[in-house]
Amino acid sequence: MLRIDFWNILWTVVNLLVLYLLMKKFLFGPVIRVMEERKALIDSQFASASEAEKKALDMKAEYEKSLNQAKEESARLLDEAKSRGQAEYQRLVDEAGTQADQMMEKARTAIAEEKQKALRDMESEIASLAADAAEKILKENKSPAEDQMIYNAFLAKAGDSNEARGN
Amino acid sequence: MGDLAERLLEELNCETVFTIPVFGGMEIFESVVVTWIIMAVMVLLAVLLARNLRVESPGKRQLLLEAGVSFLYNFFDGILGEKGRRYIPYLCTVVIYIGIANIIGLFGFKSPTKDLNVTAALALMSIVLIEYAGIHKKGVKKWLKSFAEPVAIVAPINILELFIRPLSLCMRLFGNVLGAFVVMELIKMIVPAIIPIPFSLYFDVFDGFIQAYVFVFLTSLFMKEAIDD
Repeated sequence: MLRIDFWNILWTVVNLLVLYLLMKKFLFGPVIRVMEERKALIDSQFASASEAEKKALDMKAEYEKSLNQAKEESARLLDEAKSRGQAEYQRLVDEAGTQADQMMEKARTAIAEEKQKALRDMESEIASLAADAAEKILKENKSPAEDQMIYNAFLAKAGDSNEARGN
Repeated sequence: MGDLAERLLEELNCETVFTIPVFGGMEIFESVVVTWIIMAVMVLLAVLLARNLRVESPGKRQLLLEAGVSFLYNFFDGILGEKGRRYIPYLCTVVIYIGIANIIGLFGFKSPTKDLNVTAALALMSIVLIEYAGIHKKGVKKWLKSFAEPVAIVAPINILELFIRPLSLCMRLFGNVLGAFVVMELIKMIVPAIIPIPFSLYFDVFDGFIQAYVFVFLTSLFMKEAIDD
């Protein structure tokens, strides 16, 4: 119990050193190594996960950007088409207006010409009527009362014909 | 009563198991032989438990083992910090060894820690490790200088500590185990049945583990002091 013996102390020291080395080799070394490896694995997995998340977010931002660009582009195209359509419409309307004006002008000219022609016709008819009447008067040689009657008849006839042409 | 004293003495005596006939007869004490048995058990268990360790999807056995190892590892890591990490396996080994040695009396062996030679050897290794850690960390010059800190006048006390620390470690462990053993023997002499159970739980099991804990705790505290600037 209380006997101190150098050899036994030495033996115990040797025993403990051997036990330490064996335990380190068979227990603590492998177990600690495994735990550290697992920790490293988990760390690397976390790192790669956060990297993937970052990449996904980047891609999302890119997609959103391109989507916005496409939206703007389509709005721009629509505006352009609208304004072009408006311009085309305006042009057509203007053209139609010009054409109508031209046609109106033409029609007016034609009407005027027609009128002119009718007037000329009427003048020649009146001339021939006058000539007929004069011829009649000369042939029949009638009294002044008859002359007056013939004159009235002529006037009535000329007036009628003029009215009929005017219509 | 004389009978009791005789039996106690016999129990306390560390017998010589055999003698190696070199250097004028090298006696091998019982404590050394029991230490061999403990070593065999520990190494066998370690080999059995730490087989086929896997990094991914560990089994129940491995998880249990890892929980135990990391419990001890974190305990010492908390005291020593990063600088003392290399000494942790030794301290873990010692705490397991002392823990088993203290309660091996329950299995019918004589506790090696009941032998002053074993606790002396443990304390010797502790003080060597403490001073080695200091030298390794600071270098010989700074280590020598650290004896005169914080003021030169305490140097004798610091040098005395070199002997007091292992002596107190050695005697504390030895005295506790011996005392617990004697108390338990006395109780068992007076009341042989039932009553010794709670006492045995306290003196054999609880006190055994507490002393193992105290031993390595103090060793690691001294080491922390030695490697701290």
